Amino acid sequence: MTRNWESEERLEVWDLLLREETPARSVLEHLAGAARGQSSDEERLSTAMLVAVAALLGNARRAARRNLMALLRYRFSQLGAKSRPHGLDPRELANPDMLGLMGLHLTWPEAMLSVGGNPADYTALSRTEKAVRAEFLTQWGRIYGTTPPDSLTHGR
Amino acid sequence: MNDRQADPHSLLEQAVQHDTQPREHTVHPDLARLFAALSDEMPGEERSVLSAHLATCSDCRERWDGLATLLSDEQQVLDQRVRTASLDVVVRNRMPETLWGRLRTSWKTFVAAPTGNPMFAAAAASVVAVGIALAVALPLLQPPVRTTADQVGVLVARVEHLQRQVESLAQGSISIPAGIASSQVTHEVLARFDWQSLRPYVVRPLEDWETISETELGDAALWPLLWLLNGAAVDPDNGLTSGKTVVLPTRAE
Repeated sequence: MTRNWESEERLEVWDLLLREETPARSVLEHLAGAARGQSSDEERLSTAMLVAVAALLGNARRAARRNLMALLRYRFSQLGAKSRPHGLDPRELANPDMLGLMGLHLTWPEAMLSVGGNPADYTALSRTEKAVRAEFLTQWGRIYGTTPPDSLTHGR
Repeated sequence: MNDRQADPHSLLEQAVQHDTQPREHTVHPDLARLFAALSDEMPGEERSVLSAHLATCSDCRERWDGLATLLSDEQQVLDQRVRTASLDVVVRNRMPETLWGRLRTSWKTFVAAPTGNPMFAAAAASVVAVGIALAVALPLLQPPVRTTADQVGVLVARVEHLQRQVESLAQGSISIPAGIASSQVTHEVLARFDWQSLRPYVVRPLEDWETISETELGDAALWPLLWLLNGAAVDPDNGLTSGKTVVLPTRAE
């Protein structure tokens, strides 16, 4: 594998989003511009998804934003081998950024607890996923002027 | 549209997994950077760059996990060293439940009587303090090898005896110890201190109980309580010696 600067830059932006910071618009546009010239669907998907989540976090109301943060924490905590401190209290995550989340393998209720949400609210998961998907399709069309290929949206 | 298509979670998962596939890196963060990030001493942007690297470099991720475990273990050791034993917890761990409950009830009874006889309050406090000192200071300040089942049994018997003395004091059937019989020792004075949360104190040259009481508690009249509190650990015949560690109450909040 060779170095992939777009991927590294996307990961840095993901980390910003996890820290609830707003990435510079120019960085997102730069990534989108680079992705337009990409032939790899996975590269295009990764950029469109990042832009979509950034847009949602920028525009969503408080509860929706909280649920989306729970989804991001849930997803990024699954990265890497499981490694979590004994007696972890999800409500008191020391560093809920990418480094702090990787390997924690949070459950959805734990992810919701970590953002102060209702841990039993599984409908929040499906609602948020639907919102992410809709925004992803919007951003894909805006960036690439097409619809995503079936190979992506119909599964791997 | 099938279920898979309707699952946007898989799209997010695909995006994240694509970006976090392991890659070869020519440059790796040094130990100082890893420690800085683990110690929360790294600026956010730099931390994001490091996150991006660790997410795709399994070797560095392994080092990171190892360092994090090491630091966590060290922190636990430090926490245990600085933790001051809570007297009631230590006593509760050493006493049968029923005896502790009775002892605590006796303590609360005299503390909750601010309008009562201050002499009685001071005397009762001293008797309870002796019990506490016998039960706690001995195992705390002496080598743990002496904590045997027999020793605990002896301590329990002593505390039961002291509890009977408290009850006798309440009934007026025994006299108040002369050393405590000071009109200056009142409930208000006693309440200034938390007698359940003790702190260590190293005796300085030429100090005695009275001077320690005056300098550390602000009231020389409380010296008998200090003596009783430390009675089991300090030989009264030999007095205090410089460098000896004794325990004092903390200021009540």
